[in-house]
Amino acid sequence: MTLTRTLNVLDEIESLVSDQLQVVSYKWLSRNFSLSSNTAKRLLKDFVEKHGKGFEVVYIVSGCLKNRPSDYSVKLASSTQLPEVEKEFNGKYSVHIYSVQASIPIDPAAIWNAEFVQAEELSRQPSATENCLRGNRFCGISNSFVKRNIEGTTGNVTAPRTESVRTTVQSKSSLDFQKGTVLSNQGKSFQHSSHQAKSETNAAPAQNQSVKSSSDKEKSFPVPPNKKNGQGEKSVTGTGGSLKNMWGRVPVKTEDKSAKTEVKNHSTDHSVSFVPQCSVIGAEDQKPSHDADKKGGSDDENQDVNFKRAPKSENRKRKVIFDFSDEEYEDVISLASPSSPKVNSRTDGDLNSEDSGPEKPDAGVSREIKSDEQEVSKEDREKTASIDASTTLSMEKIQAICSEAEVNPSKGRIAEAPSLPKRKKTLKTRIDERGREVTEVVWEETETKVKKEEDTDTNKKLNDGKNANAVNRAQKKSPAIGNAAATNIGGKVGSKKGGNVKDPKQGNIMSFFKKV
Amino acid sequence: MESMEIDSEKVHERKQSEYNYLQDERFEIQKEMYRGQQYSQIYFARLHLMRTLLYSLAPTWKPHLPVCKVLGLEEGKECIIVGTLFKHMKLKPCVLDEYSKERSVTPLVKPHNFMHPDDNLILEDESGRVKLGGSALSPAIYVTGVVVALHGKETSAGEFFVEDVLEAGLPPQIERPIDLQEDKYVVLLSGLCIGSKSANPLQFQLLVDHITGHLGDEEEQGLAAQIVHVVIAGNSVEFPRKLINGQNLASKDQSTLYEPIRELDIMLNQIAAGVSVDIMPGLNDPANFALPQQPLNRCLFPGSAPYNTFRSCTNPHSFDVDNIRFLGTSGQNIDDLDKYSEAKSKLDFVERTLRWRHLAPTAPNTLGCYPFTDRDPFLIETCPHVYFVGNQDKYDNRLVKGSEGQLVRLICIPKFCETGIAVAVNLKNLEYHTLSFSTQIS
Repeated sequence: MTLTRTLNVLDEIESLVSDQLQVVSYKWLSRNFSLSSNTAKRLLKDFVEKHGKGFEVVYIVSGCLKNRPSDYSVKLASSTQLPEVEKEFNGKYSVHIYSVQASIPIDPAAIWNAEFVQAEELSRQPSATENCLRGNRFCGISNSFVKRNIEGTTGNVTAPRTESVRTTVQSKSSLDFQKGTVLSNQGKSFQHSSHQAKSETNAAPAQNQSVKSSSDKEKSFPVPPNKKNGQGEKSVTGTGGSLKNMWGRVPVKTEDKSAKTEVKNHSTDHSVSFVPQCSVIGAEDQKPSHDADKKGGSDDENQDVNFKRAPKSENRKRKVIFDFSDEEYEDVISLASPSSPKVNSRTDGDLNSEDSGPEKPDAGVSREIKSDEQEVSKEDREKTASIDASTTLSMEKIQAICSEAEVNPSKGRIAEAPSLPKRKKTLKTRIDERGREVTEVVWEETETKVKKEEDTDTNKKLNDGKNANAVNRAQKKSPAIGNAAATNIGGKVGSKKGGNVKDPKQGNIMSFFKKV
Repeated sequence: MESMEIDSEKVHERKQSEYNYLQDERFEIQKEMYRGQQYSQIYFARLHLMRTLLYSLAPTWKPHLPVCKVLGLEEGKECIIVGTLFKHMKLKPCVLDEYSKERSVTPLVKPHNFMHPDDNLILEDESGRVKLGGSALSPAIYVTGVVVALHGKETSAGEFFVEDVLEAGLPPQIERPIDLQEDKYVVLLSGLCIGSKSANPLQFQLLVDHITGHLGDEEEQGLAAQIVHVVIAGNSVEFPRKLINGQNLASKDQSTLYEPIRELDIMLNQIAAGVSVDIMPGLNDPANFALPQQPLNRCLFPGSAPYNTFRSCTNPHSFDVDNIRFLGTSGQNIDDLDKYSEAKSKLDFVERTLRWRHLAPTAPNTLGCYPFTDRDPFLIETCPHVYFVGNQDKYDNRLVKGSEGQLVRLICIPKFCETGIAVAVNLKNLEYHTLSFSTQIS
């Protein structure tokens, strides 16, 4: 190494030790300046010779002890201890400088900290990067037989569910999900950093507590819903909700869940992703668990959802659906919480009918349907939705209705339904009574008053649903799964656009239902 | 730039050796299917295999005596019976007592010896059981689950008076290759306890630096280049127990939970980048509880798993390096023996398990174990050359010679977090030495 560079390094060491009070160990030095360990030790020796005073030096003495000649022993010693320690060793032993620091810390482990921080950073680099930690290139021993497999061996390619869960936790806010399929995303994210993988692994069990962000829900959708069950209620809910959205026709007016579904449905009207039979069934399977979860769901949310479920198109949808799935409603009824949602739904119904009045001739009919639906829980609607799936007629209707669904110009989505009443979706952020930040999608139309009432009651979840719905609607329909993916992505985009700040801790179960 | 520097320094080439761990297959339970079976089947498999063995040994031991079953005992008739020992212990904790005690967050296992002068032994086979008397068989040495052959006769009191005992003895050993010219070392360590208060990360870092060749001068690095394999025998991490109480973790607690594993992974990464390393699960590690413990999941080590030198292994673990057979556990088997029997040193327990040809005779009685249906994987079929037990209190070793010329090095690996000692075994001659690291600065 050239003299200038040596001097530069020595100066740097000095500044680090005296100004930043960092412990400079030979290992740290070698990694930082890309020197071999032996060179680093020599440098430290030079440094101590030059600037010795004013710094504490820790020596490392290694060799065989006198009383145990066959055993190899390594000891650290401060400069004061060095002579005594040296006496314990016999024969050939080596003394090197381990580290230089401003003062010797009480806890020896503090000497190790700087080195470890450095190692941590190196380990956090993307798995494909070769660095001095991974290649172990600065040591005195080379081993050509060591091979490192970079191709995603860190991540066990487990069931997609697990991976998708991890990725959702990882990048709630990132747009990574939107690239390609869920699975490929996971592969990438695994390779991005081992750190990620680790936190993912750790986060996976914590999935249950993670928020249902819209991204979560959307991510979870492509994964077979059944798999999601293991991940916790939230993810399950999400899938179920998304499926509901696919159908978009689930009656809103019943309980909390139903309300949410409606919101979702509303938003997915346009998208009309005709969820394939199987996935819908999967969603159905999860419904019971959702139900159980949802029961605990806040009533206010439900009610809000109910309110949101105003659009005529929804009513019409519900009408269609009801014809097909009576039995499910019975189940749902038992789970739904009785009074307040009904009240809300009634009010909703009124509002809705008002809204739908000018828009669609079925307003009156839909209102009635709404009241009928009060008993129906979200589950039912989801089931209904699935049943609907099999009915092309209903699908067509849904499609028609979807096309009429409102467009949110504020979100920049395509207005698909020219015949839609002029409604404008805007976002309002407020803090609701629970202290959660709620972003509401407010429909602003001629009947502004009505809309605003509904909106104010909307909770965060509802907003999510609406956002998702709006986004979904904006998406062009594509067959089944493709559509689902699209709606997921769309929903995600929508949520981003809406600036819907989801606090993960608030666990927005209902939002899962809205989004596909 | 630095290449000139490196060229002028001597870089040692690490020695290589053959490695395989095919025998570990019997410790894996992926193929096992649990159908609600109980433990009788594993006991039966054990008895069956050992009895066949003992029957073959009995004629050479006492050729004139007949061998019979427990039910075939007649009063006054001298014979040999083979069966499983059961030690009736007064102080042995009943599982219901343990359950009713406070199931607190910190179940600190206090090594408590449950022996009592009134303990007595009973021999049992599939036909019946008989109480054992006489002084040839000391209840202090034996534990439940050992299969032995006994020579004696039934007394009028219905007891079986034991005159002599035949244990299975050391199993046959494959000849150690004698053509190893150079010194090659296998380093054994255990009890890193990363994440516990007593662990000193600097100490472990010094060990890692030594093994990978950063420490010392060139000659010492040359010595380190002779290390061909590293085995970490259990208890590598220690999680703060108070967090594991069935509640969901807050996000700040989650980081304290995975910090130890992350630190371990970074250290293993450093080791794996240079030398072949095996990691075994221990009592405190995030693996299953019952023996045989399954390998730690590779997901836990995202930094180290990509290396072809990194291996996550079962506990117990058996492997061959250059045709030298190693067998070892993370210490649960010996610790359990320590609770239910006594010996002057831990190595006595280790030797006993070798002579009984069974790694963990107290499983499944007092040691958690998987209910195998058709085999007992803990039977030692071939004698290892090195038999190590991890997480012991102090370092100890002994060379055991068998009746047929077997030579086994028994090693008790001390806990690294407490002693800073790792053990290195020389493959050439089964000699050993310790590597000790001390960080006492002030």
